Amino acid sequence: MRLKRAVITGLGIVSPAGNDKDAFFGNLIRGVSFVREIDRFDASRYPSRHAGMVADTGAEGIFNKRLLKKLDRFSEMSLAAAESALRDAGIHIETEDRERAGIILGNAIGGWGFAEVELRDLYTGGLRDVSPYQATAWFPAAPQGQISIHYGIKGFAKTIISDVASSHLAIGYAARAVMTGKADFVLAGGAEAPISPYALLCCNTSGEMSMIGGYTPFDKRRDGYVTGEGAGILIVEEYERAVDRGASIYAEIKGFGHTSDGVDPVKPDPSGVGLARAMEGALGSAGLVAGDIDYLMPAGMAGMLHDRSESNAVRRVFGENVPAAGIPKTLFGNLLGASGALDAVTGCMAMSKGIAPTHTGCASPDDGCGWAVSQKGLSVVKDIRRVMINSTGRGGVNACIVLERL
Amino acid sequence: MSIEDRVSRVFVDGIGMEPGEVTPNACLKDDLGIDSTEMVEVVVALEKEFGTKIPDGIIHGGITVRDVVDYFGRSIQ
Repeated sequence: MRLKRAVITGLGIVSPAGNDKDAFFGNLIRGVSFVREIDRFDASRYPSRHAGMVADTGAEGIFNKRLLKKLDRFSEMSLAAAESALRDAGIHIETEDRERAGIILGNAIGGWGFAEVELRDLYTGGLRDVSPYQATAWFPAAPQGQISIHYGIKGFAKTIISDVASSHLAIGYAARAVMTGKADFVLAGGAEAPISPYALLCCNTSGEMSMIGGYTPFDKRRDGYVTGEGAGILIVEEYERAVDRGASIYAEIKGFGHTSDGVDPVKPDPSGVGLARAMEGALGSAGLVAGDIDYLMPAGMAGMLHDRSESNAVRRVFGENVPAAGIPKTLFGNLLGASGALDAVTGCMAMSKGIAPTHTGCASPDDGCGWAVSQKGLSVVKDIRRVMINSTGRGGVNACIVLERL
Repeated sequence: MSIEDRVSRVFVDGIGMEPGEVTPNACLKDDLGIDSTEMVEVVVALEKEFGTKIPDGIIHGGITVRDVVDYFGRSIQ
């Protein structure tokens, strides 16, 4: 079967660094940090109490309160991002064949903010005090379902739960769905809402979050990642259809690699071989070689083992010729299951604007890393044609996508 | 506050409907779009508003706002 081509024609975000893609990207280029001490609830006793928080999801101006009160924050942000992405792509969903439209989204932890309150009410008030929407608000496929219902989308749909690699995989498998003709276009990406008392506690107990409140991957002083909340949704569309309707095309999803380490239930393989295979798989499926990549966006999980594993992978793939790299999510937090979607948006914007955000958060590279990005100052203007983006999830999940500007 | 106003308050403030939607002849399912899950919320909210347990089957999608008002008019008396 001759594969079709999958391109990105719309970007929608809800993020700590802004909900407008241009404002968001401008903040990354300027190196503005949106990581701050959590003030939504009393987090003073949490070991890690800094995060990137969304001030306003923007959903209230678009969706009615009767719907919003039934949703956890991760679904609310997903709806807002979906609306932005469809608008950006110029897609009027009511005129589309909605059986040919798909949804593939990812998240890591589901809708805990809603569930926490209902659990409190269950134990303090009893069964009848629990909202009937608890059943449909908390579960990981809720954003997919709510978008499907709101827009009447009835095509190929999935929710992918694979820790921090979730939305990365969603975008990769959305591209495959389009390439194999399962859908004309797919809303792809993910959402995460970890800034609630119980969800944040769970993240804390993973032992992978920074206690000093700084997100500095590959730096010798780093002690973990800082989390954040938000959503990112991309319109992944069949190329010829996009051209026929005169859509603006940000990039083609040229390559996708997905592997597992098979080493440890939580930790990555120190050798980085699994991630390197994902990166090589993405290059191979794109018909490219390492030297074709202009800009690298590492997973940057900011744990010693994670960083050393990833630096080994980068060295295996690129040798001494590592391209310019940036980890702009260090400015607004790692959105866990949504981080890959925000990175993909950033990558698209970098190619579109010809400017790569080179903020990495790393000032003093860890000598134990075979390769370590360092802070080389603020953004440099480059002619960026191809971007490689990595994600790694607990359990040794590795994902890599390669985007190419047309 | 009249029973009509109290019922209306449940639909508007509790459920999140627009005041103009909640008219006496509005059917809960066909006009107000209340599905089975939302019906649970409606029944619990009405029970809290009127401080009484509503027997199963009284409030359902096929009735109107006026029917709800009439029910509480009878049950309160």
